[in-house]
Amino acid sequence: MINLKDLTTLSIIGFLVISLLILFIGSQSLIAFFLTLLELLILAYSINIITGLTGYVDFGHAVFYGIGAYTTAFLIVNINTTSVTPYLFSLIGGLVAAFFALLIGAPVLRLKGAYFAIATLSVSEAVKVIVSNISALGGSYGIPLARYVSYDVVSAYLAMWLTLLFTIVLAIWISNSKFGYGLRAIKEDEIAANVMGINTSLYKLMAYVLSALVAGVVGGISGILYVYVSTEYFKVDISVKMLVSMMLGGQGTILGPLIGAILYYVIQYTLVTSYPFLHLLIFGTILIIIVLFIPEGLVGIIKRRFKQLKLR
Amino acid sequence: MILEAKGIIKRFGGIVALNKVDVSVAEDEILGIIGPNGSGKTTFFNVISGVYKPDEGSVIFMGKNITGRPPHIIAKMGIARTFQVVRPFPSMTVRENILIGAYFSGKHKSSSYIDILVDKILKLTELSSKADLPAKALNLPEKRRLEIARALALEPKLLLLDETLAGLTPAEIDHALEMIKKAKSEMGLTIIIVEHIMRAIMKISDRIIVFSNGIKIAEGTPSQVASDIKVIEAYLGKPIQGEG
Amino acid sequence: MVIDIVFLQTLVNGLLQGSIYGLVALGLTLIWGVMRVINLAHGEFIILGAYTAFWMFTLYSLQPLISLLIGIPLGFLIGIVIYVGLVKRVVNGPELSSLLVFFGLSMILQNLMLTYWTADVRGLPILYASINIGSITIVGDRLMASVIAIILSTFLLILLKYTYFGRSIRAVVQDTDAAMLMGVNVNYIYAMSMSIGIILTFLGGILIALTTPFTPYQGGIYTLYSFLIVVLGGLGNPLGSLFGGLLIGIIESYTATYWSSGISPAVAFLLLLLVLIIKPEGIFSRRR
Repeated sequence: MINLKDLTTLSIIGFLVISLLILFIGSQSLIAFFLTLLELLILAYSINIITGLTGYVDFGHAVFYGIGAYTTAFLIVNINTTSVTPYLFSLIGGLVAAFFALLIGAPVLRLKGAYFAIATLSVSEAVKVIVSNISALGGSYGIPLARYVSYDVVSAYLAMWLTLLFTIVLAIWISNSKFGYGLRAIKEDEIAANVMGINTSLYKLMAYVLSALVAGVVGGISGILYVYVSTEYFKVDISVKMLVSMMLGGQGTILGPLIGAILYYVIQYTLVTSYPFLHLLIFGTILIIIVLFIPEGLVGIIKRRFKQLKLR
Repeated sequence: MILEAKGIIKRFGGIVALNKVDVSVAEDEILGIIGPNGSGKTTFFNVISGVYKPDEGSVIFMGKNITGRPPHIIAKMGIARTFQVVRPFPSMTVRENILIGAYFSGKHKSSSYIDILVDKILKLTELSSKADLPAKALNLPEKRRLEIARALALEPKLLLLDETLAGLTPAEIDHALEMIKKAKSEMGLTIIIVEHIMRAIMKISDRIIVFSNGIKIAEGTPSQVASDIKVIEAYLGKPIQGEG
Repeated sequence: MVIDIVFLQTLVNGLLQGSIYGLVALGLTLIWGVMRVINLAHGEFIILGAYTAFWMFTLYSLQPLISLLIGIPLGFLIGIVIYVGLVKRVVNGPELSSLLVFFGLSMILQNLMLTYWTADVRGLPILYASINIGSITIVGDRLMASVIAIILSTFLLILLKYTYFGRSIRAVVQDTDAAMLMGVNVNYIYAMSMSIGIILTFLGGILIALTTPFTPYQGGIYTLYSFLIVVLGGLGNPLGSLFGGLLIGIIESYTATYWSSGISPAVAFLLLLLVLIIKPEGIFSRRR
């Protein structure tokens, strides 16, 4: 009898293997399809750390994605190296995003629930407006990278895949560690967790910083992939996309972001090709359905099915 | 003295919830705290456990000054508490709830030690059969026991029990008192217990303190306190003219 | 001398715009304060109101002031529908659920408006003559909108303060359970608050159509401004919202004049952040 843990392990290994193979045997369009999917997956796992596990709903997570992208682009433009792969800069992008999370995390994480969501949204939007007013960062036009980097799907794909691998390993490690336990307790009841010996302020901040690190790195990779970085990277659409993907799959689980992002991406892909101007409507409807009817996401439904099967 | 609270003052806006409160707790004793609603009992617990920072006064625990230190540090130093309205981690199993305390007690113990500890606590609080159920599936008396079990997992020196017996039947109350005494002797605890149920607290306490309007109005053995006129007035109001 | 006039003009513009912001924030604070429901689709309702004014004028040559009369039953209807369809399901849950649900609604509304009415910038022509006091120009349309906003706000304040209905609402804001025990039909109050809130928002949108051009994309910024005002003025505090509105109107005006209008949103966002972190119960609030 298969259980949830086995299903999770199987799905993850299966997906990682398949997605790697796609690079070698897939068609151009299939590779492009998976490339965007990989990006969404990493972002879903990223927000899972602060929102899914810790329970702090981050409405402005795209800010880290954008900071990673801008840092990487800025470095590429200003540091002339042909010997080093530009993807190294995306790692620095991740570190800068993490640092930013460290700075704003302390005050912002003191807010609870809805106020935290509004605050993170405000941060994200404020940064977007501020960046578009800084000429050194390209102002409202952004930073084109065509002169410095060539469009290379293969290396971008590998970079994404490796980042996803690292992110999943990180998710598994957190899940089984004392740290992960603490985060779950914080999500369930923060005051009780505090009184039980958990340093809630520190743990929350660590979760925030880690999630920012991941988002920043993938932002950098995307910047290189698309050969262009602009304030579009800060758009609330991106924040919502990863949030909804994670929630759809199942918050705080390891399988959740995987199936949530895949399902979300497939829905968006098929519907947007048929109805190109309705993607906001789709996001919105899915979000409402999830919140009202399936708050634990698909994994929650799967768990319930397993329980039913077990009782028989 | 395992705990000495001196001159504690805690204000909320215009209200003085605790007004120059002095409380000392001897090691190994069970100290009961009683008083009408709003007299400051839970506020006192919140100050001791670090949930509130007192405006004035100091709290010394085992020789160390813990005044205003954050809750998780105080927990690691050896003070554990339960909440008046139970706060289990609802989606986590009973075992996982108890594990939290064991993991975060700040004492570096091996995983086998922790397993043994958790099993011992499960047995002590009679929750072994429910160990793998989610906490939200428990009924009230079981949730109360889980509150205590969780606190015990911290292996504390001082246990604060905040109205653990509310809502229990008389039989359940006696049962709970036995359990508390057993836990105390098996784990070497000092206990401060806040309660409304008179016969329970009179039965279990070595010493009792009475709060009213944020000040200590009486202190002594259960029988001393029971006959103290101030205490009776605090609970029942001044006697009607011509009587009492 | 020249600098003084710019300073004064900016102030006047800010106050005029701010009174409309205040009206619109009243709608939000009512809904949020009474039901603890976070209406992130607030801006989209404003834009819907603006479109109402636009289409009534463009298709039927109806003056915006007449549209206000249409806006009342329309807003009421929308309020009831949203209450029964959505709010009832989330009103007793965590605030966060309502935030997410209404965010979803805002996306749906925005998309619908974009699909059916396109992203073209819409606006009303100048309908009222401007007044000049010395060297200060008071734009006619803005003055009319501002006056109506103040009248409507005053009306609501009187309603809240002096009627039984109003007192019931205030009771629910302070302590829902106590209000229930006092015989207040909380369900009815919720439904009414939602409707009145939406009506005010809708009417505010009509007034905004009178003063500014708009597109479906602008819902977000109005939502943000309203949030900022509500948080500044204190949740469920109508007078606070009005003062907050004026304050924000003035800040926006000065930012646009002396810095750049593009940076106004950032200033608003940062201000919101600051208030949330420092005094989330509001600058004008006396409550904890």
